[in-house]
Amino acid sequence: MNIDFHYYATYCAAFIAGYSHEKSLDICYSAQMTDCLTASYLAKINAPRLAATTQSQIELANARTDVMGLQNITRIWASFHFLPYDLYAVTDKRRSRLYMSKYRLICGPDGDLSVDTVKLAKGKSLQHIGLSMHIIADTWAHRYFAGTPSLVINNTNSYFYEMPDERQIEFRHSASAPDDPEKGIYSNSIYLPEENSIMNLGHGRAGHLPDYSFMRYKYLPAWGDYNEVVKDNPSDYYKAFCQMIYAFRFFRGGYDDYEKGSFDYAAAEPYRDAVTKILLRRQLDSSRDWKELGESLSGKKIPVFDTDRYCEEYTDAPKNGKDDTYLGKFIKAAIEQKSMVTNRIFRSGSLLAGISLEITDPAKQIRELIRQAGEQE
Amino acid sequence: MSRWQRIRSFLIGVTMMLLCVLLIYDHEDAYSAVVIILSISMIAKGLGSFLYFVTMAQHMVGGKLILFEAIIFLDLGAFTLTLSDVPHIYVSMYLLGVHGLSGVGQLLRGMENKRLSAPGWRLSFAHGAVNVIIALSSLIFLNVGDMLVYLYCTGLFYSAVIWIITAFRKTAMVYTQ
Repeated sequence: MNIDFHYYATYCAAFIAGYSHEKSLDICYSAQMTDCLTASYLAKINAPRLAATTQSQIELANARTDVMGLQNITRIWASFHFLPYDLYAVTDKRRSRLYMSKYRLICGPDGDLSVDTVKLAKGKSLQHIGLSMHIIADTWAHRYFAGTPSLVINNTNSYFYEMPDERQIEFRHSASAPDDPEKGIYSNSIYLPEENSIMNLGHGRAGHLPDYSFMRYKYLPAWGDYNEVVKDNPSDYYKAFCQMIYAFRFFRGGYDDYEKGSFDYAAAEPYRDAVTKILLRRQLDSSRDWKELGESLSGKKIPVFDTDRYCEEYTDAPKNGKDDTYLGKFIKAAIEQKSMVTNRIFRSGSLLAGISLEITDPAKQIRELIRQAGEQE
Repeated sequence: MSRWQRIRSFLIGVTMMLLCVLLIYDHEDAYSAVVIILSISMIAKGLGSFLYFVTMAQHMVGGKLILFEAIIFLDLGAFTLTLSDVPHIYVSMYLLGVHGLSGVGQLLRGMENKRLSAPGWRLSFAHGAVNVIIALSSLIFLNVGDMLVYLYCTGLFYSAVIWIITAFRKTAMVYTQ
C-alpha cells in the first residue's frame, strides 16, 4: 500500500469511526510515517535506531545478509509491513526446519498477531493507533509474501495474469521507469537465485502489484506447490478499509473486544460507492481522490504529508521531554510493536528475527543474567 | 550488494590477478593451482546448491533449476580436478572453453537484462563479449608457442578487473514496501 491508502484513506476511516479532524490527522500521519522512519532518519534526529520501521533503498542496498543483518531486516519488515499470519502453520508435506521458519512468516490478515497488534494499541497514543492501522492495512495488501529475504517463499515466475481478461503481465527491472497499467508493464526486482538476497524480500519479485488497489491478478507463489493464487485487491482493500473502521471503533470503546474477521461494513455503507470507485480506478496514486473524499467528509483541509513536520519539535525538546513529543510517542509505539512481534516469533521457536527476552521484573532478571554469566565464567 | 558480497567480489578479483601473474612467470605450478582452485570452487558451489535444493528449493515453484545448477557445477568441478596429468595445451583449451562458456552466459544475461531494462546490462554484455572473443581467438593461435597461456591470462585479468569493478559498483534497487 502507498501514501494514498496509508495517509488519506486512513484519515477517512478514522473520521468515519468518529475521530475529530485533528485526531484523524494525527492518526493518519503516523500510519504514513511507518513508511518513512528509517535508521538514517532516526540518526538525523538523534533518536534510537532500534525504532526503525522501514529501510530506505540505500539502506537495503547496503544491508548485510549475514545472520545479524537478516534478523534486523526481518524485525523491521515482519513487524510493520508483513505481519505473519500464523507462526505455528503446518504444511501437508514434510519440510525442513529452516523452510518452515520462513514459511511461517508469510503475511496474511486476521491472524493472531493482527489481534495482538490492535490490542497492544488500545488505550495508547494516537501515534500508536496510526502505526497499528498501517500494519493492519498492509496485512491485506501484502498477504502471501514474507517480511524476510527468501527465494523459496517470495520468488515468482512469469506466470502472472491480470484478471478478468487474463492478460499476461510483463515485468521489467527498471527502478526509474514508472509502471504502465495500460500496457500491463510493471517493474519488479531481479531474479537472483540466492535464498537471502535482498531482491527476494517481501513482494519485490511481484513488483508493486500488491500496492495498487485496482489490480486483480493470478500468479504462482513460490511456496504454493504450483497452485494458483488469485489476488483481488479491490475486495481486499475495501475489507482493509472496513476493518480499520472496526478497529477505530474498538479503540474508542464502541466494541468490548477486537475479534478476527470483523468489519464495520455498516459504518462504511454510505460511502461504499465513492470508496469502491476510487479503489477501482486504474491509477498508480489515488491520493487526490482519497483527499477529496476526506475533505468532503470533514469539510476541512487535509495537509500534504511532510516527513519532517515534527522533527524540530523532537530535536528541540529536552532529553526528558522527548517522549512527550509527537515523534517521541511514535518511536515508543514502534519499539513496543517491534518487541512484541520479535518476541512472538522467538517464542514460536524461530530465530529469524533474533532472540527476545520478556522483561517483567527488570531487577530480578538482571540479577539472574549476572548470575548466569558468572556461572559460565 | 551487501558489504560481505563486495569484499568477496574484491577478493576473487585480487586472487585472479595473482593467478594471472603466477601463470605468466611459472607455467608449471600455476597451471595446477588454477585447475585446483577452479575445481574446488565449482565443487563447493555445486554442493552448496545441492544442499539448498534438498533442504529448501525442492518445495519451490521452479526449484528444479537449483538442482540442475548443482549437478552442472559438481560435474564440471569433478572433471576439472582430473586435468592435472593432462598436457598443458589441453588444459589451456579446456580453461578457455570454460571461459568461452561463461562468456556466452554473460552475453545472454546481458541481453536478458537489456530486454528487461535492468541497469548494468552493458557491463554483463561487454564482459561476455570479451570472454567469447578471447576463447575464439585462442583457436586461431592454438599452435603459436605460449600464446594460449597469454590469451588465457588476458581473459583471466579482464575477469579479475570486472570482479573488482563489481565490488565497487552501485546496486540499483526496486523499492519494496
